Amino acid sequence: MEYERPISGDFEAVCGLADEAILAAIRATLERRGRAPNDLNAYLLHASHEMGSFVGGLRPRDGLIGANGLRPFPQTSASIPAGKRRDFCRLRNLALRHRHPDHRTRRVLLLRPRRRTPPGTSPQSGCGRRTALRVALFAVGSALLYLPIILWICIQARPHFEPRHYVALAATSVLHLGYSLSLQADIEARTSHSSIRLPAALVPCCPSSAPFYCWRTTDGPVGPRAGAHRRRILLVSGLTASPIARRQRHLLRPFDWGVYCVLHPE
Amino acid sequence: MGRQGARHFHLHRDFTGNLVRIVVLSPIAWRDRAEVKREARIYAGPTVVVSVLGPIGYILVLFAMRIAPISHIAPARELATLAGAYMGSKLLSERTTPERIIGAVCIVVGVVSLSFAR
Repeated sequence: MEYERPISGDFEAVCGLADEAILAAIRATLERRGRAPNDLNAYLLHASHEMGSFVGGLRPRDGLIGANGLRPFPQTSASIPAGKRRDFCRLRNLALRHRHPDHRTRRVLLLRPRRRTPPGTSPQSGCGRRTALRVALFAVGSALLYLPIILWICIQARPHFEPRHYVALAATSVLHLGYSLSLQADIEARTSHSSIRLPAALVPCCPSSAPFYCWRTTDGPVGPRAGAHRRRILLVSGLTASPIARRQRHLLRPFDWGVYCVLHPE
Repeated sequence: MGRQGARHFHLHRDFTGNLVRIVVLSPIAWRDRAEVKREARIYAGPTVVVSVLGPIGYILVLFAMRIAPISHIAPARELATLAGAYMGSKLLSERTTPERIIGAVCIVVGVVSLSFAR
């Protein structure tokens, strides 16, 4: 299943079975073997726009679908044999519509995707692949758009970086790669709410950014407040039980009090 | 780091991140070139918008960190969660539950409180 745009209302699944030869082959197989499984590409239409697509397994059976082709079919599962109900799609408001050359619209039941799917078409693998492709697409776009600015800076300003800055560049780049992939993957899979996606994607960055924030909040690595921050980090990480020596007006102060009260209840 | 290097370090940081993404993800994209073309054709507009606005947002945040306290910038940056929740509610028709509204109000109250902190 590939989602192109969100669907806010009723929609139709339209199967483009335009080739009469395919339909004739299905009919022939159906008459010969009593069944004619086939994979069909269907598109979800909403407000005359394509919202998504998927590969569905059409499994017409003799007796359920007449020999004259795809006749109208009830959309409830009541008329389907009990053993075969699991093969049918559970989505509502779906109708596989096939337009014959005589322009008669006929409806059949939409079947759920077959379990045995071609490589790269399963929901999981497709999601991961699309995630990587879209992140790569955005990265290429950004790199191309900002390349002239970076080149101009490198030529005009000739920035000089120390080794530790190259380490910082590499570390932040790797973290942002993980952030982009996790965020995009969650958007593709739609497994969570949008208010959860962003904080969840930031989780890998928090352990690395917390010391950075604490260090930048102080007046430098050797300033008078830097020692207190280092002690806070150590205290939170459980490496020392010593409370904060100096009380300061700081955002972390309530948090310090909470930790201090837990460690020293008296 | 030289002065010029420090001034433009945030630009280099964002650009390096994009280069790493390209290097890491290029083999996957190369194996599926037809899909890349299809994605680029369908999402040409959003790709350009995200490619321009994404780095600008990140660069502005990094620039703001240089001229304002991190303790103000970092929480304010988390307002992106609110924007994401709003977009999800409007564009993706996600449910807006009372708990999420309370959480959003807490975020706003927290950021406003931090702006008044001394």
